[in-house]
Parts: sequence; C-alpha cells; structure tokens
Amino acid sequence: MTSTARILAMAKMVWVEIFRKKDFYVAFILVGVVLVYAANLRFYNIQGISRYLMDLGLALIFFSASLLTILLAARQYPNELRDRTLQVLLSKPVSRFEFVIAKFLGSLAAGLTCFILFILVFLFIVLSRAGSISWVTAFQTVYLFALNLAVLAAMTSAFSYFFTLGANVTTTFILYLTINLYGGSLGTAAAGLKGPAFIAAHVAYWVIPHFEFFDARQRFVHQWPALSAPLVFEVTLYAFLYTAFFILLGWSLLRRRKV
Amino acid sequence: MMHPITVENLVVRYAKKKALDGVSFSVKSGEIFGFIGPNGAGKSTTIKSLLGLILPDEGVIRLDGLSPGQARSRMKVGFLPEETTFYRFLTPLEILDYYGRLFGLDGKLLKQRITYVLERVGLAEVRHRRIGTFSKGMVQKVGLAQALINDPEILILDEPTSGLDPLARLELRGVLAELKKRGRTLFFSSHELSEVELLCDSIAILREGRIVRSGSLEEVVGTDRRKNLELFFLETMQAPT
Repeated sequence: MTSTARILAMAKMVWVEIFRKKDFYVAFILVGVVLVYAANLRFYNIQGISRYLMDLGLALIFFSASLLTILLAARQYPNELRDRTLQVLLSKPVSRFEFVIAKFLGSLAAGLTCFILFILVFLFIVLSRAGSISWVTAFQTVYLFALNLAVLAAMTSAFSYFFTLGANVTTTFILYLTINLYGGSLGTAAAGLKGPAFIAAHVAYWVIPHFEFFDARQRFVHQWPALSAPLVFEVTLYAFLYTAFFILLGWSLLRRRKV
Repeated sequence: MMHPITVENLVVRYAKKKALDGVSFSVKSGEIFGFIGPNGAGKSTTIKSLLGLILPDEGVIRLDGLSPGQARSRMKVGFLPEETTFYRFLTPLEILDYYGRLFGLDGKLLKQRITYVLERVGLAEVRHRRIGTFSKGMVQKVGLAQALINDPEILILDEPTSGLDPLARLELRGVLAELKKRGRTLFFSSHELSEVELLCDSIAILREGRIVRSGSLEEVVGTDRRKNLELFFLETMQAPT
C-alpha cells in the first residue's frame, strides 16, 4: 500500500468525524437561520443595506467555517492520545509524517466541505434576492478563503502537538482573530514605535501568517474588480509556504516523542 | 535460530529516571509469553518499545529480525492496548475497514478478513452499531478484532482481560489458544496472574525496570503444586532488591 493511500484513509476518518458529531449541524442550522433572517430584513429601503447584510452573512460563514476547522484540527492529536488510539495507529505501518499530513488534510477537507455547504446556501439566498453577482470575484473569494483554511488547519494541527486542547483552541482563535483584525495595521503601527518595541513589532509583522491577505469579502460585496492573476499566485505561494512550515513544525514536534 | 521477539539490554529513560534498566528476553515462535510486574514496573514501556512507539536510549529490539520502527516489521504485528476507547462515532465494520486499509488490505480479501474477525470475536451481530453505544467488554472485543485484522504473526496484548466478564475471558482464552495452535507468537502483559498461569508457556517478571525472573512457567514457579504463580509473584515482589 502506498503512503498516499494510508494518508487518504486516515484523512477520511477526520472528515467522517465532523459529520458524525453535532458541531457541524449546530453551525449549519445557525448560519442558515441567520442568513434567511438577514435576507428578509427590510430597513425602509435604505440604500446599500443589502450589501451590508451580504457582508454580515459572509463574515458569519467565514467565522463558522474557521471555528469548525480550529475545533476539529485541535482535537485530533489530543483525542487520539487520550483514547490510546494513537498507539494503535502508530503500531500499524504508518509513519509519524503520514499521521501529521493526514490529520492536516482531513481537517482541511472537513473545514472546506462545511465552508462550501455554507456558501451554497449563501449564494442561493443572494441570487434569489440580488439576481446577479460577479462570478470571478465570487470564485476568488472562495478560493482565497480555502487558502486561509489551509494555513489555519496546518497551524492548529502544529499547535496541537505542543498545547493542550483547550489552550490550543483559545490561543489559535485569539491569534487568528487578532491577525484578521489588526494584522494589516501592524506595519503602520510599527513605524511609529522606537527601540525594542519597533524591532519587536517589525519581527511580528514579518513572522505572523497574515490571514487578512485571504479575505476578499469586500471585493465581492462591493463588486470591485477581480484581483490580478499574479497577485492571486503570490497569495497562493504565501499560503503554501506557511502551510508547509506548520506541517513540518508539527512533524518535528511529534517525530521522536514518546507516545 | 531467530526468535520472533528478541530484546537485548533495553534501557529507556524518562527525564533522568530509568524506566527500563537492561531488560533482555526473547520469545520463541508459537509461544505465549507472559510479562508480569506491579504497576510502574515498566511493562507498558517495554510494550511501547516493542511497537516502536518509544525509541530506546540503549539496547536492541528485533521483531523477526527487523527493527520495530520499520514498516515491514509492523506489517507482522497486531497490538491490543489496555482500555482503549476507539472512535466512538464509527461502527466495528468501519473501524476494521479503516485499520485493514492501513495494512494494504482491500477488496475481497479485506471483506473476508473483516467477516472472519468479527465472527471470531463475537461482534458480527453488532457490526453496524456505533462503538459509542458499546459496553467496556464489547469495546475490548473491537480492540481484539483490530489487532487480528492483518492476521499477525506476532500479537502483543496489554492487559487483554481488563474489564472483561468471566464469559468474555473464556472467549478470549479460546481465541488466543487458537492463535497459538496456528503457530502465532503472543506477548501478553497482565495483572491477572491466574490468566497468565492458564495461558502462558513462558514468563518474565519485571520489577523496577529490571527482569528479576524469567523462563518457562515450570522453571520459574517450580514443580511444587502448592505454590501458584500469585504466591510466587508476591514472594518475589516482597523480597529485598
């Protein structure tokens, strides 16, 4: 059996897990209810309100898909360790590198599936209300967020070999939100600092994965022009490098650990 | 002649403390080998080393002449851990399909193995039920089933009777006796000394990371019928180090 087949078998288990537990269904119902409710709101025909609601809906979908990915990726290693299934798994012809890759891929596949299901509901509502959208921008928005989920799944997986489950979920979530909200302005803020604070802010700016790079919601909502192909390529490369870095970090943490 | 399991001068340290201190033993082909000792003696550490889950600080382990870290040696091994929960959201059928695929089994061969193993451990009737709804004894049967899915030449069992009722123990003894009859090698760690006495050909007694006695059951306990393994074990543990 090839390494790929073993990785796919393990990744499939992670994918199956999310649909056999309640988290996904709770999030799906919640997102669906909020989207339908938002789509039926009427504010005295105020201009631009539909765009605002579209923005809100997408934000909710991004948030829910990210949260589900974090929760799933974070619990893989600690739960396998707690239930002793890790010992069973690693006593089979499975290498630790295959294990790390499989857990990442499974978490990503599950997160992406949730995201696509949410987006389909969203698009159905938007198309039934607005009539038309820019498909190129819509595709870019979805594609960039898929890259975002890849980096997030790899980062959460890597942290799971170091932190406890609770600490990982909290740390990753706070880090993810903070970077999304303030990551872009960190460079500007750093320029106003002096001494060690200046150096620390600059190092942080260049080291953190800039999740905000993958957020093209505004472009879709306000129907701005699509991103250029070279820029999309650069962002793809950026996501690929961070994903690879986090996978290697996870593997280096697990490689020689006594389990 | 090469033994299926050979351990030479095994040393494992956790931080600075030696969990295993020069452990050596070998298990002959087709033998049931009992590995006994009190809590914290190093039984689980030995098992983890045999499975390649822990890299020893010193010493050599060979499974059929191969290092336990090699995929080729793992293809020959089945492992039943102590009190595993397994994936509660899966059914026995799904879990055996999953583990079988990790051994490269698929198609008709995998289906045949799953059917055989489920019937052998008595889970055929509940193969579509989620493991989350199972009793402790039934989960232990799932554990045994997954350990047998690759028809292993070497079976490593960590406290296999833990949590089993007398009837389930009897069934387990039947499975292990059948495996022995088919020439499989079994490494058996247990607190249940009566089980060890009933099943094992050879034993090793571990105390504070060292083997204090080893050999065939007769060699270790002696031929005095009044003396059973439990009495001998207690004497050994109470003796000054």
